[in-house]
Amino acid sequence: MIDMTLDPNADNPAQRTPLVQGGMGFKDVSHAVCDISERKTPKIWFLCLAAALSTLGLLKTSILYLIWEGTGIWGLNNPTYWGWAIVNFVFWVGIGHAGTLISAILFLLRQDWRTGVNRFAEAMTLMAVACAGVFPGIHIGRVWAAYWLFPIPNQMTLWPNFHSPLLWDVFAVSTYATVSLLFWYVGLIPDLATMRDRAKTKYRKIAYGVLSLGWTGANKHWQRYEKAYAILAALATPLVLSVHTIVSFDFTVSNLPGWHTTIFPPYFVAGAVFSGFAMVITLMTVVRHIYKLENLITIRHLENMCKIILLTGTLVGYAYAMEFFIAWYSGVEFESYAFINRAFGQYGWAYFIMIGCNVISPQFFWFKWCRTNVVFMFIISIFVNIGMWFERFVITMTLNNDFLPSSWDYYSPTIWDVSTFVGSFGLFFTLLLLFLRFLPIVAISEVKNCIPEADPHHGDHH
Amino acid sequence: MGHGKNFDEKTVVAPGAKWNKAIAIFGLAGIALIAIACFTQPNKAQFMHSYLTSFMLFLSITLGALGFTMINHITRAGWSVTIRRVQEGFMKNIWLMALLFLPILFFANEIFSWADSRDGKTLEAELKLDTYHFTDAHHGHDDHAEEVHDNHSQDDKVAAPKEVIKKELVAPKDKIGGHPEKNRVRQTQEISEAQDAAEAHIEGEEEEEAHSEGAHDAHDAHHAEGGRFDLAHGRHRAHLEHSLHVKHSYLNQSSFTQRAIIYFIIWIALAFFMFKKSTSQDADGNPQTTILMGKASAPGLMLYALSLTFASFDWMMSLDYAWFSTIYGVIYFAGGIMCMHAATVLAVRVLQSKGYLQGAVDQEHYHDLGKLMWAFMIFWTYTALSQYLIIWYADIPEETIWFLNRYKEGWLPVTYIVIASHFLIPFAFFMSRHMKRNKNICAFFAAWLIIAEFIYIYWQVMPTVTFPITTPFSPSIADALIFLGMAGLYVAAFLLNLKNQNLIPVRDPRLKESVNFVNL
Amino acid sequence: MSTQEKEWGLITEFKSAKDIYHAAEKLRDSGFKKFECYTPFPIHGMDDAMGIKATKLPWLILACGLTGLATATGLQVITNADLYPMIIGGKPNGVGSLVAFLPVMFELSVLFSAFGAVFGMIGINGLPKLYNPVFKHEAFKKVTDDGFFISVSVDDPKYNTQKTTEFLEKIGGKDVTVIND
Repeated sequence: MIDMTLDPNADNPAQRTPLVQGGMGFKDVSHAVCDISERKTPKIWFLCLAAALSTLGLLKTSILYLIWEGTGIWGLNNPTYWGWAIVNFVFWVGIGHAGTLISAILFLLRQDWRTGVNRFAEAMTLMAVACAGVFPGIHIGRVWAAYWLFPIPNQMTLWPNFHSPLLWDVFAVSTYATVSLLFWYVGLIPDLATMRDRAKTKYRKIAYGVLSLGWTGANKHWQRYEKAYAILAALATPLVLSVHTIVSFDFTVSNLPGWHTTIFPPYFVAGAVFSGFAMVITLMTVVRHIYKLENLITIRHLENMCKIILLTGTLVGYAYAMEFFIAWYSGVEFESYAFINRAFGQYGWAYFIMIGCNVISPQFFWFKWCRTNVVFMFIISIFVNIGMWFERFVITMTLNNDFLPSSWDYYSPTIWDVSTFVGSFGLFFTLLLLFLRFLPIVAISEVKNCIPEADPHHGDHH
Repeated sequence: MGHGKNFDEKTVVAPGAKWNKAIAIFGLAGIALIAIACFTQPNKAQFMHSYLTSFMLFLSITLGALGFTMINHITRAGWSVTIRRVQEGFMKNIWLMALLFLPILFFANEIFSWADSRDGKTLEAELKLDTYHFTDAHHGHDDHAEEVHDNHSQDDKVAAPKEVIKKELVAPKDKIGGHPEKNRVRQTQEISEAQDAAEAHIEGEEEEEAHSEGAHDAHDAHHAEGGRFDLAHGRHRAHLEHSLHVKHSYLNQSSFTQRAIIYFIIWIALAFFMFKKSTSQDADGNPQTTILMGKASAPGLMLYALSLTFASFDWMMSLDYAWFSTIYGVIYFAGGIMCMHAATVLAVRVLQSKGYLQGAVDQEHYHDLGKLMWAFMIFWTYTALSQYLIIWYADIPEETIWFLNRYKEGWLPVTYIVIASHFLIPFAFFMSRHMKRNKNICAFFAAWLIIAEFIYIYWQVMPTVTFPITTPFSPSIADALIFLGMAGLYVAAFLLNLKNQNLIPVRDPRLKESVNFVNL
Repeated sequence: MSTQEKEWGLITEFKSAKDIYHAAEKLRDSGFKKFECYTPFPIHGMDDAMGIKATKLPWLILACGLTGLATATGLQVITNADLYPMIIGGKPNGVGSLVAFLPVMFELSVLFSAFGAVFGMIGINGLPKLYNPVFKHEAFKKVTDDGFFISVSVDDPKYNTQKTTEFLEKIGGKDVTVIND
C-alpha cells in the first residue's frame, strides 16, 4: 500500500497528489478564501490602488490627447499604419486566453488542478480583454465614429463589410468577452452564496445576496448548473481558439510576406496560451504569497503551469521554425527576404529578444528545480511577457518594408505610444485589485470537490 | 471515483498461438489484394499514387498512436491505461510501415514529379489522357509570349468540363489563365537543356547578387525567360522551374532517402522503446517505469513533431513541389490522431466481440475515445479550414492553384464529399454523448472517419499523378484493393505485435483508476 | 397575498457527503418524490441516488445555437450580398464568399448558445429567487460552507410530519425541523 502522506513534489504514479494541502477541510477552504475580502482592508492595498489609478490616469490622458490631436501623436508612418496600438491589442488579447483555457479546456480534460487557479485566471482574462478592447476603439482615429464597427447600416443601407477580418475581430472579441464574463459569473454564483452566508454587514448581505441569485445548493440546481458549465466549457474551447485565430486572420489574409502564412492560426493560439499562462504565473506567485494561499495553490499547480509554458513556448518555437523553413522552401524571394530581414534587418534586435524570451527562456523548465522555485518561475514569466510583446511587435513591424522600397522606414515610438501602453497596465491592475478585494479569488465550491471527503464513496473498501 | 469495478483477468492475458491463424489469413489476404491491385492498375504512376494514399493513411494511424501514447505518459493520464496496449500495438506497427515504405523509396520517380524521369508522351499513352493536355508538350522553352493569348486559351473557370476545354474557348486577354502548353518540367530533353541554361543563368545571377541587392532580379529573369502562364492550369511555368531549382538541395533523391531513414530511425526507436518499457512493466510492476516513460516522452514528442512535419512535407506536400503551406504538418497530425482513435475504437470493439478485454474497457472508454475522435475531427477542420481560408483570401496564384486543381477534372464533388464526410456529417450526428456511449454507433463513426480521412488523403494525392497537370478524377478498383490489402497487413502486424503480450498493461500503477473512472 | 404561515416541509442536516448520498438513496427507495438535497458542491452520482432524470437544458442550448447560426448567416448574406452587394478582393458575391462569413457564423452560434446555457440554467432553476423558505432555517447558512441538508416537501404524497421526521432521524438526519412558509 502506498503511503498516504504524499509529498506534493514527489512523483508517485500510483497515487494522485492531493490538490488541497495542509489537511484543509471544507470549512477551512471557505474561510481561507472568504477571509481575504472580509478582513480589514490592508494599507498596502490602498497604496497599490493609488498607483494603479494614477497609471490609469495616464491612459486616460493619453487617450484624451489622442482624441484631441489625432493618431499623429504616435510614431505611425506611411507603411506602418498599425503601430503599437495593434501590438498592444494582440498582446492583451493573448493574455486573455489563459483564463478560458484553464477553465474550459482543462475542465474537459478533467485536470482537477485547475480548480485552484481558474477563478483568478478567468478574472485576469476579463481584465486583459478589457485592456485589449481599448486599442481598436482608439486607433481608428475618429473615436466618435467607433460605432461604425458594429453592424449598423448607414442611410444608404450600406452595412459594415463582413468580409473583413477586422469586423470578424469585433464579433470574436466581443463574443469572447461576453462568454468569458458569463462563464466566470456562473462559476461565481455558488461562491457568492458562500460570501452571502458569511456576511456580517447589511451591505455585504444585500450585495452578495443579490449577486448570488438566491442560490441554495439544491441538487436539481447543481445538476443543471453542472450541465450548463460543461456545455459552456465545450463552447468556450473552440471559442478561445477562434479568438486568436481571427486575430491572426487580421494578418494572414493579406498577401504580405511575413504575415501571410498558414501556420498563423494555431501558432497565435499557442502564443496566446503561452503569454496568458506567463501572466498567471507572474500574478499568482505574488498573490499566493501575500494571501497565504500556499495550501490551495500548491507548488504542484505552479509546476503544471510551468510545464504548459514549456510546451507552448516550444510550440511557438516550432512555428517560428516552420515559417523560416517554408520561407526558404517556397522559393518566393519576397518570403525569404521578409524573414531574413526580420532576423537580420533593422529590427533584428527585437527578433532576437523574441527568440530569447519565448523559445530559449522557457527551456529552463525542463529542470524540476526551475519549475518548483517560485522566484525563478516569476523571473521567467516576466521574460515571457516581454518576449510575447516583442513577438507582436516583430510581426507588426514587417510592415516597415513593404513592396515599395522608397517608402521603407523605421518605426520610432513617441512618448504617447509608451504612455498609452503603460497606462493600459493601470486599467489592468485597477480591475485586478478590485477583484482581489471584493470577490472570492479561488473557486471555493470547485476546490471543495477536490477534497477526498467530497466523494460519496470515500473510504469505501473495494 | 472508486466504485471498485473489476475486469475479467482471463480476457486480457496474452492470446499467444490462438491468433496465429488470424495473422496468417490477414497477412496473406493483404499481400494477395495488393498483388491483384498490381494487375488491375497497369499504370505504374497511378498505382504508386494509390499506394502512397493508403500508406499515408496507415502511417497516420501508427504515428497517431505513437504521439498519443507519449502524450498520455507526459500528462500522467489515468483513464486511458486499459486501452493503451491496443494503441501500443498500432504504434509498434511502425516496422510494417518501414517495410511498406520501401516501394515508395524505390519508385519515388513514379510518385514525385521533382524526381521524375518520364516524359509527357509516355504519360499520355499510359493514362489515355485527353490529347489536348499534351499537344504542346514539346514546345520548348523559347516560345513567344504572344502565344499566351492567342493559342488554346481557356477561361480558367473552376471545374470546366473537359468538353468545354476542348472547344478551346478564347480567354479575355487580361484573364489569368491558359496556355495549354504544359509538361512535366523536367521531362523532355529539350527542357532539360533549357533547364541547364536557366541554371547557368542563375549561377551568373548569384554572382551579381553578391554585390547588389538583386534578390528580385532572379525572379524577374525567370519571368522574362519563360514568362507565360500555363493557362489551363494557372501555373506559371517559370515559377515551377524556379521552385525546382531553389528546392533542389532539399528535394532530390539522396537527401529524400536520408531524411526518410532519419524519420524511421526516430519513430522505430521511440515506438520500440515505449513498447518495450510498457511490456516490461507487465513483468516487474515497477512504478519507476511509468516515471521513466513520462520523462522520455517530453523530448520524444519534440523529435516526433519535427519528424512528422517533415515527413508530411516530403511525402505529401512535395507532390506539388511548387506549393507550400506552413500548417501542413499540423493538419496531417490532427487527422492522424483522429484516425488512431477511430482505429482504437474499432480494434477494441472487435476484440470485445471476440471475448477479450471484458470489464477492462467499458462505455466510459468508448465515450472518451469518441470525444477525442470528435474533438480531433474538429481540430482537423480547424486547421484545414484555416489553411483554406488564408489561401483563398490572399488569392496568390501559386497557392490557390492547389485548391483550384481540386475544383476541376471531376474533383469538385470529391471536395464536397471531403467537407461533408470529414466534418459536417460526423459533426452533426456524433455530437451527442448518447452516440459516443453506444459501442456500435461509436464503432460506426470510427469506420466512417477512417474512410473520410482516406478520401481526404486521396483528394490530396491523386490529382498529382500527372503533375503539373491535374489528373482527372478516375477512381480505380486498385485504390480500394490497395487500401484493403494494406489494412489486412496492418491488422496482421498488429495481432503479431500483441499476440504474446497482455492486452492491457496489467501492472500499470494507474490501472485501477482507468478501470473505475466515470465521465461527468 | 396571504400572510398566514403554512407548513412548507421538513429540513434536516447530515454530516458528510457520504451520509447525504446514502440518505438520498434511502429516501428514493422508500418512494419519496419531492425531496431535495442541498450541498456545498455537486456530489457525483447524486442524480441517480435521488432518482432524478437528466436535464433538457442541452436541447435548449442547441436551439439557441442554431438561432445564432441563422442570425449570422442572414445578417451577413442579406446585408453584404443583397441590400448593398459588396465585391471584395474580386471574390464572388454572397454565398460564393461563404468562407468569409464563417467566422461570424461561428461566433454568433457560440454567443447564442452561451446565452442559452447561462440564462437557460438560471431560468429553469427558478432563479433569481431571493426569498426561499429554507433560508429561514438558521443552520442552513452552513450549506454553502460545509453543511449537507435534505428537505422533504409537504407536497410529497408520502409526507407526514410525524412519520417523515422519524424516518429522517432513522436514516441519520440531525436536527429535523419543520419549516413554515
